[in-house]
Amino acid sequence: MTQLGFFFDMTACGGCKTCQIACSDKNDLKPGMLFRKVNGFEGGKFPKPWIYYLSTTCNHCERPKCVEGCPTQAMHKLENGIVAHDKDKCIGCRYCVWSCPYGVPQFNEETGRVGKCDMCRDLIEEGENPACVDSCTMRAIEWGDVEELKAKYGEDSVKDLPVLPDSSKTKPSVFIKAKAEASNREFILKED
Amino acid sequence: MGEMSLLIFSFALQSAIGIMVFLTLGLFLYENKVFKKAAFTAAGLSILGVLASLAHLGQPLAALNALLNIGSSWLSREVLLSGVFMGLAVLYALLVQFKAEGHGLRKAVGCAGSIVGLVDILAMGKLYSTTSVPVWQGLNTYVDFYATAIAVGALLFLALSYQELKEESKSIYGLAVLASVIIQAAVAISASFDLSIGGMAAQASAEILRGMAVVIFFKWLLILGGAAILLWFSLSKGQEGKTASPLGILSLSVLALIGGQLIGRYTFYVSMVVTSVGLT
Repeated sequence: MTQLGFFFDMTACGGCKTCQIACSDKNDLKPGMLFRKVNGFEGGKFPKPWIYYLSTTCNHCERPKCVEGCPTQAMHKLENGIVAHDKDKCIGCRYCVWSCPYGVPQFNEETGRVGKCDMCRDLIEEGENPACVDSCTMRAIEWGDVEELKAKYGEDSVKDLPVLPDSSKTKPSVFIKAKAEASNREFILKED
Repeated sequence: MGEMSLLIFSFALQSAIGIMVFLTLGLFLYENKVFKKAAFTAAGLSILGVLASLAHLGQPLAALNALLNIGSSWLSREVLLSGVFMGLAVLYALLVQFKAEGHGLRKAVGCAGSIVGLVDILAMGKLYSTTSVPVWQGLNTYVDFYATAIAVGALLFLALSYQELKEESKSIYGLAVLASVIIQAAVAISASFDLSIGGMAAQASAEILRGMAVVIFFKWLLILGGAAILLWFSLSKGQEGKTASPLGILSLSVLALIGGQLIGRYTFYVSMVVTSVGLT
């Protein structure tokens, strides 16, 4: 079974949030819901302050807690490893919201159902890239088979950072090329 | 608070399960008693709980979809077990109402209901403790749920079956309630220590709980006070007339203990903080 995943180059990201906006546009999300989110983390002191940005979305984990816990099988893994969500099965119990350590699934009060990134599977099936990938002005986001991403970026990338939950819990399909500052355990989540 | 329906569900179901367990024990301990009020309360509470759980859903009409992942989801298993328990509690009440004979059948249904109910509480504990909510992880959630079932169940069973048990010793109920709430308190103290040395989400929950210190103080005052009143009541046999109305004392214990446990369940849901990016 293949496993698709994302690569994110933190060293290239300037925090413009174009990926976040493109994702929201593609998924027609109302204010308050985000399937991809850019967080800024800052720290240090003058003359050595620092900041880095982290663009995150569903990690399409190898062992997704949302899929394991979903009582309806609305959350399910596709053959290509994408964690997809079947809105017709979803009963809006929000258990996936409690289960995902990355805070990915979002409950939509209007529809009474949950939603999340599906890696723009409709675009992928047409041979295109996910919206976040194409919209990034710095080409900081890539997608592909995790084995290929690992071969390409494995040595320079990480899955664990102090700002992220322990990757051993769900085995996220993500590779992050991190700035040196991102290993700092003292950080402040930058307010929007 | 957004989880009021779950508060009602978990509290009502656990109370109903506790009543069913003590009611079933009563069938074996005392001959020819049916505990009608307790049976109807257990059935009513389980129906109330299941209905409340539907109110939590964004799509309540599709609630049966929750049974589609018994293989890996503790929530699916909990829904199934809660439904079966409700069915058995209602069946027991119907047997009491319409089938005066059949003590053996009532025993069988009571045993089945108790076993299903106790496994259901395990499923409830599993489903909360396996989330990405640090304050719910660990032994405390299981102990809290079982202690609620035993303490509230025993107390309500005794209060509702007071006339039937008038001549019987009640010390077993007083001791069961006090033992369960002491264990509940001891494990809660240990859990609060673990929380204070946990990660960021755990710290955030600890901060919420620190802000509710007065409320939590009253919770334990009511729970331990209610249990102590019950113990005193249950041990003071044959002294009726010398003290205040026995039913009055029992009611005071019921109000205190249930009030305290409800406050505890409220803090359980209010202190929920899920881990996320930047909040590990």
